[in-house]
Amino acid sequence: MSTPEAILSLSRRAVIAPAGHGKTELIAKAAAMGQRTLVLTHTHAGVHAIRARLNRLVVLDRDVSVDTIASWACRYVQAFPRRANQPPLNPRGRDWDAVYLGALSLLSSPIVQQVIRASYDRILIDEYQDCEQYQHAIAMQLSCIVPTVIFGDPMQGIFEFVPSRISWANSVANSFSHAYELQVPHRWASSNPDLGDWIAQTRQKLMNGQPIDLRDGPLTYVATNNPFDMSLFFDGMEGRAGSTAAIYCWRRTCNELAKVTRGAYQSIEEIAAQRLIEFAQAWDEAQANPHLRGQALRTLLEDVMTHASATSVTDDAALPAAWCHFCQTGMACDALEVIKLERAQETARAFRGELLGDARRAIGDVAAGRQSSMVAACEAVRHRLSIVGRAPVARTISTPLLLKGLEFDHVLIPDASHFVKQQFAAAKLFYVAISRAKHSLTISSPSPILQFPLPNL
Amino acid sequence: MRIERLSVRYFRGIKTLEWSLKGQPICCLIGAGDSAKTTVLDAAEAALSPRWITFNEADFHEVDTSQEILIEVTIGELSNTLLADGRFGLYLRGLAEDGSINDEPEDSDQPVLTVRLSVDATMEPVWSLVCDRYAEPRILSNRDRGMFCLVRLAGDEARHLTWTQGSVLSKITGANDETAQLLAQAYRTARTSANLKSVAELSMAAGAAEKAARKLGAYVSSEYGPDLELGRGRFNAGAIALHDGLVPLRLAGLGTRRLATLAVQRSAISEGAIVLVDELEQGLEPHRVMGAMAQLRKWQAEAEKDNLPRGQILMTTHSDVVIGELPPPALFVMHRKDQSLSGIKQACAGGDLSRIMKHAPRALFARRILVCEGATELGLMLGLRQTYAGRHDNVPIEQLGGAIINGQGAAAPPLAAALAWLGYQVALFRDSDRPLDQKWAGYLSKYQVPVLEYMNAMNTEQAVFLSAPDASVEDLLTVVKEGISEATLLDHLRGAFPRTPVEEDFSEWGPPLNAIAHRLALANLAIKMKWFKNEERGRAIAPAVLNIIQENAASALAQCLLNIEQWFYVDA
Repeated sequence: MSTPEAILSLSRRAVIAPAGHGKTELIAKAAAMGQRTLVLTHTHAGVHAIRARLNRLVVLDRDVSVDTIASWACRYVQAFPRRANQPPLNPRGRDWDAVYLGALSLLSSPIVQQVIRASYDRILIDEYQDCEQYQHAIAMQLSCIVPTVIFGDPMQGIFEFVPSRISWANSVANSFSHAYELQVPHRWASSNPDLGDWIAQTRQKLMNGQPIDLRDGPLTYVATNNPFDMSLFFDGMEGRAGSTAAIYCWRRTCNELAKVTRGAYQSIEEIAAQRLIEFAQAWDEAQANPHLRGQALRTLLEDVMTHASATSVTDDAALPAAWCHFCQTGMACDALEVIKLERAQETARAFRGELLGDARRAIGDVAAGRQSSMVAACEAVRHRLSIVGRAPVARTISTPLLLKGLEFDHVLIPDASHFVKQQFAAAKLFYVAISRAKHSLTISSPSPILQFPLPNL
Repeated sequence: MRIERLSVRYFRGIKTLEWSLKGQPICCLIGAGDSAKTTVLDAAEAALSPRWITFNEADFHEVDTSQEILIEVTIGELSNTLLADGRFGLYLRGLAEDGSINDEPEDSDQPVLTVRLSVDATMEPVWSLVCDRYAEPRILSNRDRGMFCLVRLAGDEARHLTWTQGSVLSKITGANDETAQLLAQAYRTARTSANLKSVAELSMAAGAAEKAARKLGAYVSSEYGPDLELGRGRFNAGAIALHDGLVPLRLAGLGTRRLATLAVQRSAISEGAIVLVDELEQGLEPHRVMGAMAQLRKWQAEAEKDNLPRGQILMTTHSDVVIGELPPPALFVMHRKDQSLSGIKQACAGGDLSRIMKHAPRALFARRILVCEGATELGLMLGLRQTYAGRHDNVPIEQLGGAIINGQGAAAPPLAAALAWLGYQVALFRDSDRPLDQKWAGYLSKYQVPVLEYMNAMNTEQAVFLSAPDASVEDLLTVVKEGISEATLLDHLRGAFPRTPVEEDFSEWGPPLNAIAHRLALANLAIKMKWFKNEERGRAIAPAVLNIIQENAASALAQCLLNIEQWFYVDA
């Protein structure tokens, strides 16, 4: 069986772990049993999840290191830059290929192999379905140096649109032979065991290309063809204790839905926070032109806040005065004043609170002289967020890509039929969406039967 | 762990020093007095010891605090603890086969770490790792330095014979957090019963120490055990000391105390310690020195066989017994050319010295060495040497740092060149009947080695007989007679001089040959019959030769031998 002890005897094998089947717990326990274990994953959020589990097991940092593949590779590549063919120091975008290729080259050095053997006696790699080809190559090399076990779920491999993403069946299964598949849906044991079973069965059906009937399960089916049908969002909202997530595949629609709900559901930003960086660039470019800075702030606020009605202009003259002042000075401290007054308006509601909060923090950092440019300030804010994680929000609306790996007490899916129409990974996206739900799942769709294409495993 | 390179700048007597240790697991450093051997060990200790070291003005070269003290130690045979990426694995450098260091290691390099200790005028020492790949240097804490496992066997060994904090015995007892608890438990046990032997962990550590100490040749009269040394002030871990029976080991003889300490340290460190030993021979009889050396080598050989780190022993010595027991590559010679410049060379790098190390190790402690071509010359010189002191205010050549060694014939010129390369003042005393090989003549003149030989291409036998007055020839024949018996000598003489009254005194020999021809024939006979061809015979003719020198100071023999005497005394 797939006990932590059993993991210790494996080398170059794969453990298949459907969502909510206790994978993190298994990894943490197996890691804790070793002398010096390296756990690799893809995101800082993943690092946090494992670290938190290890802390609960009272495992010392020096016995288990947890890192993302990217930052682990960076650390080694920076230590041996010549052998790694001088990759860039602060990689962005395609630079990462050079980092990974550098790390690959390093791993064939006998000295680096000696360091790795001295540092770890076991490597566990999480979320393997999200590996790109070079990361996979690195994992292969590592598995030649110390015993390596990978964990993942081909049904959650939703990054099919990235061309360098590897296929589980074609690449992974040949390199890391199948050891176990986890069987017990731990996540639902205390909340809703029926839902857990239904999700597990649905996973099986999706893998086989069988149709899904939304009426025959422990979920709420709402017949509607309008994703903007507000009854899905607000009916029974008071009764839902804990966290709620609405999941929709299109980011823009998520923002619009968040706006329509008037911020009751908050749309969140991706780690790179493109919209925030756009604002920062506009700010920095308008250095000599306070008016353009005003413009940049105004469009940002339009994208993150909504007002009850266009006519509800306050008689308070402070806000227009603050805008006027800021458009003359272009100073960060004056921008802060504008934001403060805008938020103080009774009718104002932010629906992208994370974006607004980050912008305010970045402007604050610039105002206090902690950062020299708005772009640097915004990047620092996002970096901090990637390390410490998002603050919890009661109700979120976002895409499967941004919500994967998280769990919510209640999940709403507006118009599930749009999942079927996704060009890439339609069935997998749907599986990731439904498996986020812990207590309840509510799905709206014009038809109760969903027929997905066979997933690309 | 093994020190691969040591570089020292502006530290005490050393202005600049580079020492490449050639991967030797045992390195024995010799050199004339005041050549800063101990400073070299001090430098290694300062860089790698976990103890905080305080510096003052006197530690700076020529007390000039404006020149920063800089000690860099490059260490190989690294333990897994050091190699881990959470420690120093990402700071590795590479030691190439040719001894050069690459900041980023090549695949074929040996992984090494370089520790730098720098002290500026603030007297604040800073330990860091040398690695050009990072903008910020990695500063080393005392805990970090402890992982290099360096121990020094110096004057204050008593500490290591107790369980005091940081002592080696406390390390054997358990290098983890349990140690403190264990000792706390020991106090409690001790307070109630004072029977420390009942604490299994302490007894085990003592047992391990005893086993190793016996192997090294320490005298154990009863058995080693932990006990309280009362009347030593406060009751702390330091009051628990290693006892031999009822006697604290601290009170044992110097030799046994040192061997016991060495044994304790050896059994403490499994990862291959770097052990610094000042004058291993201190307090030990020659046979115990030999025993200890043999055991140290055996331990390293066993570790190598089991694929374990061998560690390294760095020592200084003034004992020819130690040198005699060393593997030839282990010997390093330190010479200082002037007040500031020091150099350390591996003895065998200039040529094969194994024969000297085995048979005449004492000569390696000298400053000027006369290399004699063969046994005859050696014996002759040893005989003459005894008469030197009388003519030079009772100063023997040894007092001036002189030594005389046998160069073993054709090996003599290479040996002379090798010794001169190492920094010794060397002269070569040779027969001149065969011309010196051009190659070696070149080397010898390059290293300023005077070649002392007889004029007119004579060998020693010819020089002796041709320079000898009649009476001295008779003296020489008497010496031969004592060596090979009168009958044999007459036999030899009758064969060579058929119509000469060889039974008579040499002055009576007369025709058919003239005096010169008689002497030449005698010399040839002496060579043929090997009359003088060993050290003892050579020594026996010395009084006769001394006579010849006094009677015939212009002779080839006298000229050559007076040159040698002058080289020893006048040029000293």
